[in-house]
Amino acid sequence: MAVTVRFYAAARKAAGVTELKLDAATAMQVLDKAVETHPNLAQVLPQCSFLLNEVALHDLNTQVLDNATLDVLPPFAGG
Amino acid sequence: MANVARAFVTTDVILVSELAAAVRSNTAGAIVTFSGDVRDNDHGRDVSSLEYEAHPTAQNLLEKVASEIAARHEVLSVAVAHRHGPIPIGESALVAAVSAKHRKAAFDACADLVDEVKAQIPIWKHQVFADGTDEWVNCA
Repeated sequence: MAVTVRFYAAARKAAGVTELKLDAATAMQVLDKAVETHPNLAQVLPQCSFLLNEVALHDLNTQVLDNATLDVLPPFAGG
Repeated sequence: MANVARAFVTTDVILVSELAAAVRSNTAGAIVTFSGDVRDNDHGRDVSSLEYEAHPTAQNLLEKVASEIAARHEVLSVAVAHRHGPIPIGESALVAAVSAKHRKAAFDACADLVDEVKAQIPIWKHQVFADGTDEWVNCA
């Protein structure tokens, strides 16, 4: 499945890019592939939460559909 | 049932007086406001500039949080706004205003609102220090 991963804030800094397009079957696979090519992500991903098509994702083993968007959100710091 | 007078994210200046006016009514005996301002220091270091980044879902989530606060407190009206983009030192990043018949409910709801915004809204703070180093807050 073709998936777009979008990185925000500290995750974007670690990735060095705003987004990646890659092929994977689950959210976990998406992240594993992203870390392979952008290893600095390994430091921030454990702190992050995720949105699949802008809905909170609670299980990284969730299957991703073709053209899905996975957002990587570091800990919030509003206010 | 309380209403949400305003709930928005913006790159413009947010005025406390504007949100206070939005929740004012003749049935309200108390208005509590909060302004979270940009500081020139953090953990003892001088901050020279600061910028917030907001996720595209921040607007919808802010509306949801404001509705939850309006539903679970004995208040009349709720307003909240979060600014993003670069914000000069001393200006408001987060402003909240709550009206109620009596002060205690307004104080409690306003504090709860600010806590929930900080916990639930996908907004991030990037600060640059006077020595030229920078950090994304809460993400060591």
